[in-house]
Amino acid sequence: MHEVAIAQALLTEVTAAASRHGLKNVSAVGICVGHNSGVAAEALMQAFEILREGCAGGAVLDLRTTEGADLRMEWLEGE
Amino acid sequence: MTVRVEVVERILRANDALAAEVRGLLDQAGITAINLIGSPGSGKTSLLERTAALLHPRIRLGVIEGDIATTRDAERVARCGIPAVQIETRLVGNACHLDASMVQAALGRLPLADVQVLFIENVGNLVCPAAYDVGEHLRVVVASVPEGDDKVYKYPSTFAWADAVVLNKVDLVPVTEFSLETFTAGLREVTAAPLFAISARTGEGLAGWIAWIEAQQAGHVRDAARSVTATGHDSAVVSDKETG
Ligand SMILES: Nc1nc2c(ncn2[C@@H]2O[C@H](COP(=O)(O)OP(=O)(O)OP(=O)(O)O)[C@@H](O)[C@H]2O)c(=O)[nH]1
Ligand SMILES: [Mg+2]
Repeated sequence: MHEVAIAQALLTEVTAAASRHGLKNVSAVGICVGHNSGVAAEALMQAFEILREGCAGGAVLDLRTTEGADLRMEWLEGE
Repeated sequence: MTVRVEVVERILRANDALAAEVRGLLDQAGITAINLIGSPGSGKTSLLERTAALLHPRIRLGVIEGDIATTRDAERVARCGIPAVQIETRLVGNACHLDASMVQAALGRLPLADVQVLFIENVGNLVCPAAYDVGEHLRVVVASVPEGDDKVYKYPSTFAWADAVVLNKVDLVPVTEFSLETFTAGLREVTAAPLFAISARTGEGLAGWIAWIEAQQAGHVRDAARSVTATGHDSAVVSDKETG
């Protein structure tokens, strides 16, 4: 239910990390979402697709799931 | 050329940082904050009304109410003589949960010097609020008998998150299939947190809940005093060095 808010927070973190690493275009973002995080991965992917903009305008999410409560960004790919 | 960089970061980093700030402010003000979450209608506000009658002003309470719409819950609590402010999340994107920025803004509307225990009643929802640290010290889940004795099995991470669990509406056990044994067994699979089986309607079982709040409040004040003493000690060491 709160995946839009999570996607917005993720976009903020992606944008900040991209600028820290001098990436102008992010093509992929690795994230980790736990089964116990309360986040529906499918809904998060959809929300991110709608919200993505700026240097992350073409970024796709690469999702890894765990059994825990993880909710992390892990890596960026881009140039 | 495409490169890959490791950027391990919690997605809710910004919220968590703000929550730590809120907690620091509450610590300084000597306030113990309790985040209440539970399904719509589980009896969170009813519990607060009862708690106010039994505890306030012996321990001075304050309340932040979170709902998608209306100021009804804040008005109910205010009628008990408690300072209460309402957050309507329809004004901030219809959020299904409170976050640290909303609570930080609400604190500005409360007479903090008059509050010892602050209850933050989250938006009725058993899932989303558990993801957001709002700067609380303690987390309480309020479940209720009509929801069924299987809720812990279905929402394990929410109950695992709690420092205490209130099972409300036990007056309805005789007219439902609810098994307290089944509920408790499920709870014990995920947490050792205390369980208070109560009825906000009849007042049954409230003594244990009140005693728990009193003990938590006293413990928090004691810890805060100790950390102030520790800081004072540190600065004394520094000044020793300076003079020596
Ligand atoms: N039988 C019974 N009814 C109760 C009890 N506690 C609350 N209720 C009723 O349950 C309904 C919901 O109570 P509230 O206190 O408004 O619940 P809430 O969790 O604050 O609801 P939201 O803020 O909308 O999520 C009301 O009709 C209450 O009268 C109880 O112990 N027994
Ligand atoms: Mg309520």
